[in-house]
Amino acid sequence: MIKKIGVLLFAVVFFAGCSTTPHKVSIQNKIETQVDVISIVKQQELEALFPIQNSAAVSMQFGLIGALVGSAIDASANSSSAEKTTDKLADIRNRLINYNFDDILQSNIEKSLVGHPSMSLGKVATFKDYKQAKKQMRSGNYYLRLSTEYKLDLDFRVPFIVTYATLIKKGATDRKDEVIYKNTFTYFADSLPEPKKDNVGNIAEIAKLKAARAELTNTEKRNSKRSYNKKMKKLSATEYTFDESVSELAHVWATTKSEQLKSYLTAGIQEVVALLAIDMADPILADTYKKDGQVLPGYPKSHKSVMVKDNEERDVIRFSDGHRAGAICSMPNLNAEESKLVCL
Amino acid sequence: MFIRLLTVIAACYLFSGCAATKQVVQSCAPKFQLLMDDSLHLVAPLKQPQLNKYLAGKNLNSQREEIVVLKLVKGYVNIYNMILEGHAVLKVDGEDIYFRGSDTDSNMANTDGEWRSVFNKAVKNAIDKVEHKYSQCPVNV
Repeated sequence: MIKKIGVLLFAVVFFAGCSTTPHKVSIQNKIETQVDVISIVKQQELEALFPIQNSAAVSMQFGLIGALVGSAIDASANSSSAEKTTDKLADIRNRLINYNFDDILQSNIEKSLVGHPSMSLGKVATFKDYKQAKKQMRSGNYYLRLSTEYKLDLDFRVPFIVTYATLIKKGATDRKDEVIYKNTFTYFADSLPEPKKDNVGNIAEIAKLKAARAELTNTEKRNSKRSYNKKMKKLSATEYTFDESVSELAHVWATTKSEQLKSYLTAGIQEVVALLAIDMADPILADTYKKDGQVLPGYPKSHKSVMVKDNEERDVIRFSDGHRAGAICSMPNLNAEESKLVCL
Repeated sequence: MFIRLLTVIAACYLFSGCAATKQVVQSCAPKFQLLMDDSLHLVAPLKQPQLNKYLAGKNLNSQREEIVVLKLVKGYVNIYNMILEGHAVLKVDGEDIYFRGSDTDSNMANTDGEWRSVFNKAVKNAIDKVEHKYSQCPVNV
């Protein structure tokens, strides 16, 4: 008996931290005082994800020197990836230079949250960093903090917007802030189709290369086999490498699809703010979604969610399990042509 | 005597091309002036880019009186995993052309100095691009 109790106590102590806290915190009672909205958009221009190398865990096994060498190697690799991405983004950024993401977001917040059933809207202001916003915050007041990011995906096919919303009653220090509401909203726009290489122009060159090889002696053929195969592979390739594909798509966004990109971003802002307004009025606790969660078509078995909105153009899902329970994601309908599963 | 004379003539002929010549390169670039756009948001360490010396050096080489006013319309530093990435966008006053400069550096201690350094390099990079565009001399010069 004592043994059993011992094992039980042991299990309780060790697994106490394993229960996951859901992501969403719901508003339970209407907030009677005014809530000021602090919209934080740290970035000044469109950004893109790029591969980040982090070998800290491995290099630290070789002590302090290993960690230093590892971090230097990582910094060099990441710096190179960042530079490549910056170069590819330059033309897109030039096309978006007069597109004011921050102002469009702020005006949408003002429109969507006026007369909200769970709170009365106070001032709405946009800041580039939270430190700057904190100078204007007063202890005891209510603030809705919206941190927003807008980026292109790693492969430059999909633009997306993420907003982290937190409604707090400001405490004397950050640690004493009382969280009244919290959730995350993600919007994925339509994806561009994967670019296909047009190698029709290479047919003549392939024929010429074959004809030249036919005239060689057996020894010459043997000696030139490697370079011949390499040239043939390059000429007959039907797919772009990852870098080539990203460059192609960057060119498309900067030229034929630049206006489309602006309208995707505007539509994304509208969708994210509209979803925020709906979700803030929904008092359902995040744990409740768990029993309704199911594996939606096309998703892996471990991925459970609830369909919030499903129409011909877009699917809006809510994660129902784990640390993301309650978070909302909007993406193009999976049945649409060339669409890509993005809300993962 | 005759052989000596011949040797001197041969030496003069052979080494005539070796006289040091100093090519004077006169830049056709105008003088530059950098201004901050009123709507520009710059975080504290980037508020005073130390570029006066750099611009003065460029203006010293300029043979023209024309002053091109450059407006810094965007300037920021991004922090990623162990790197800082500085960005600057310059607009030539009166024209609708943008020149972008960027620089990346490892982020050792995230100090103001590191931020300022990576940002200044980005602005210099953008200024170099403007200079390159404006330094092409007209054909009949």
